[in-house]
Amino acid sequence: MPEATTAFNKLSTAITIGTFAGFFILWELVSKSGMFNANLFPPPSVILGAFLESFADGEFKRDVSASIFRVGMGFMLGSILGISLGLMTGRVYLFRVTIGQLLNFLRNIPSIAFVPLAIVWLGISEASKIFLVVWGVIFPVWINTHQGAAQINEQYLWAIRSLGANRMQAIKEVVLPSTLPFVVVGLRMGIALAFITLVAAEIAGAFYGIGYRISSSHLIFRVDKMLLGIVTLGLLGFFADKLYVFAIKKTLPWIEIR
Amino acid sequence: MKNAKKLIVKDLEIVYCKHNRSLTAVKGLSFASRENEFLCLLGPSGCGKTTALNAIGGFLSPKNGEILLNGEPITGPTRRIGIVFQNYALFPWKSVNDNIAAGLRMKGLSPYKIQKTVNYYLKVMQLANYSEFYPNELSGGMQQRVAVARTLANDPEIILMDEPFGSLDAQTRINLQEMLLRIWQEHKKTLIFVTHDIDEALLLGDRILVMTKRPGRIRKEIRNILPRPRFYELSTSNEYAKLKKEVIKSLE
Amino acid sequence: MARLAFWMIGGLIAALLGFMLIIGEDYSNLGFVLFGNGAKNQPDTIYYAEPAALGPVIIFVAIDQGFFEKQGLHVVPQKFSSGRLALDAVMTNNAQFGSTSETPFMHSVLQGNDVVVIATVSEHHEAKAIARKDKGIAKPKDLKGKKVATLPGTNSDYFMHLFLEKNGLRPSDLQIISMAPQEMVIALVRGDIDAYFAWEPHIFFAKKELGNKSVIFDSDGLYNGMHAVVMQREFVNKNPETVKKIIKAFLEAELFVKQNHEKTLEIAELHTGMGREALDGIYNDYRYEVRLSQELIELLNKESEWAMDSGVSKAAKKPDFRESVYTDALKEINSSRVKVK
Repeated sequence: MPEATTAFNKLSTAITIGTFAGFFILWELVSKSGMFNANLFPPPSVILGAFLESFADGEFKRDVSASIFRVGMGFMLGSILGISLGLMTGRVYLFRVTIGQLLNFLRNIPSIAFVPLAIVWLGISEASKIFLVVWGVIFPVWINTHQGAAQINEQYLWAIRSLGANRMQAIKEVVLPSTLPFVVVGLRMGIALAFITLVAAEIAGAFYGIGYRISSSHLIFRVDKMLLGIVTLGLLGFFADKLYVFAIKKTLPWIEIR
Repeated sequence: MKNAKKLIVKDLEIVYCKHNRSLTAVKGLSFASRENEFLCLLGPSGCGKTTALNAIGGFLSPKNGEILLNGEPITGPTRRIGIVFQNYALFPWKSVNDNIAAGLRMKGLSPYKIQKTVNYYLKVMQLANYSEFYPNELSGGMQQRVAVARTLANDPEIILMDEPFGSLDAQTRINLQEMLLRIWQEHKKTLIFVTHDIDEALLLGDRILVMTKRPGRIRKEIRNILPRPRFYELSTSNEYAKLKKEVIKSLE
Repeated sequence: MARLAFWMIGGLIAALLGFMLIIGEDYSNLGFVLFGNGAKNQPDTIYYAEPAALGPVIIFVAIDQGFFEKQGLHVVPQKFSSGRLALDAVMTNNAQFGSTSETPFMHSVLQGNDVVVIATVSEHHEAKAIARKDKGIAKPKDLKGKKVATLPGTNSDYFMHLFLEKNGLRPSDLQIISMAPQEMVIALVRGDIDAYFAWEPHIFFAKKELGNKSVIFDSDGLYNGMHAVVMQREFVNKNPETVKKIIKAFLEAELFVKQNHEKTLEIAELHTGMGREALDGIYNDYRYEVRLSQELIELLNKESEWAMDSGVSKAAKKPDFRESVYTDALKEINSSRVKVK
């Protein structure tokens, strides 16, 4: 790969923007060509119209802020739980064979399966939606943290011990930083899953939110609004990931992240 | 008591157990090191010299035998025994500066004192321009210099080195060997150096302990009477050649 | 490097082909989903998008009693949980005909979809509201300021509009929450909401749990909905004979329903999964008759006005619903059933 100079980065960004522009232009042309039922497959220009309509009466802002709140809270809670559990099951044998195995069993149950139950247990408050997002986030974060905590290079532990570290110092100086690259990977997956489970979460008794808007637009045959919601979700997830990578590069420069 | 025994290894036996199979790496290994002696453990690959070193470092428990530092048994890793690994084991999340400072920081010294010591070793190991670099930005030779600096800065009583230059190219190796000799010359410390390279043992050690194949024990002890300070040109002299012949013979 | 690219692209194509192979027969459907053109299926095998509701009982009977077979049609039902989804299936060519209450149909036409009603198979007042007396709701006006759930786009949503109007309330007087009917039942029982508007049997279920703690507001007289059989106009134009055969089967089933109450209930139980208790409770909300009435047109008109006024739709002008009704088939078979002006 060529050197990451500023000129190269600028070129890369330009190419990316070009790719997106090309994608939307192609979509516009295909939609308008009449190959497909225009009502079921509207072009980006129509979706832009839906956006303006939705933005004008404040609906868009309210939906996006509600969704971001749920994604944010769910991600934070899920991450904290996932990291703590991962450190426990990764380093302590007893936890690995008890909680660890339970988690392995639970992680195969997708969030969407819980939607009806979430209402029964937690009602229609934010709690039920955040629970679903947490459910989606916790497992990738847990399993990656677990991997990282379980595979700590023994030599680092030896090195730090022979520099005079006691148990606590060894954890702080070696265990935690050693697990960090894996946690970074896990969190990145968690972000993506937070957005993915958001839609499932907002099916469960929500009254605003992007996922809610998608499903309620379906009820009134507004395919343009459905696609607006979908594109918005995609863009939010896209930028959330970019922001995350940037933050990691700045705060943990020794970790490889692309 | 200049000739007091710093480190005593007696009848060391180390056995690895894995999947119901056991492997005796070291059996009946005995030797002693005096204070400030540069001791080389020389042997072929797999003879158990790394295992022995790890036991001395306190990372492995022997099945039999004992290891005494200043007369006291070793029970685990301690800052009194410093170690330099073949693959450096630098903390990738710490800069060069922070790696070297690691041991000192845990001791709770004042930041001023710590930085003074670190700066000193940065200079000695010729790393002054790289203090803010991370290990993944350094060459192998530089990383090993950081590893040595890290151990030295912590001021242990004895230093263990496990084939520290084994993964470096010939030129870098020579440079580092000479650097090590210079440093050791100036800050005399008890050093136990493990290698499979005969030339390296001849260049560096005061005494060369030749080990047998697995399970390892000392086959022969050869005193290295080549004069100090030593430089690489020494390897072309006659005494060097004679000593080398003796060593090779003992390895057969 | 080029090698790798070659293998990756090759692998992708192989995966795509494998995928198409697995879809197999349904590949023809996939084409329809993508290309949205008229149905290519032979009129012999017809797919009916069937919602789990009591509106289409006549159609259930026609299937189970073989009335379609008698007309030379092989009708295969595809079950959906709601009329809305059944309508989707028709619009995407996954079914040749489906049935739904008139409200989703109205919304679909409003958004410019070219679908038509060939007949209605029942009239009913399945839309109702249920509220918790212990949250202070005894009469309609008490809904003011309360948390009320509804599902946009449905007939009960339209009923709510009429109900509020009749009782001098505005939507802004309530805290309106959008939910699916199954969730409404749970939420009401839990007390997360105070009332909701939905359709049977979701009212029945809540009533069963809450008993005297609840009060029901019926829609009879205020709003009577119709269960409509819907097709794509293109299919109707290409297959007028098939439409007639379907209508004939409906009429025969209507007679059967009138004469065989017990058997009809059994069939309804089978198709909807509702227990006898629920069925007995709500069967009388429905009148089963094959018709195309002027009331239907007027109802569709009124509902579209509501949809456009409340800003739900972005349609510029109101469609003429007379064009959304296909009278030819029913008129030819039994003209007294068609009362569209």
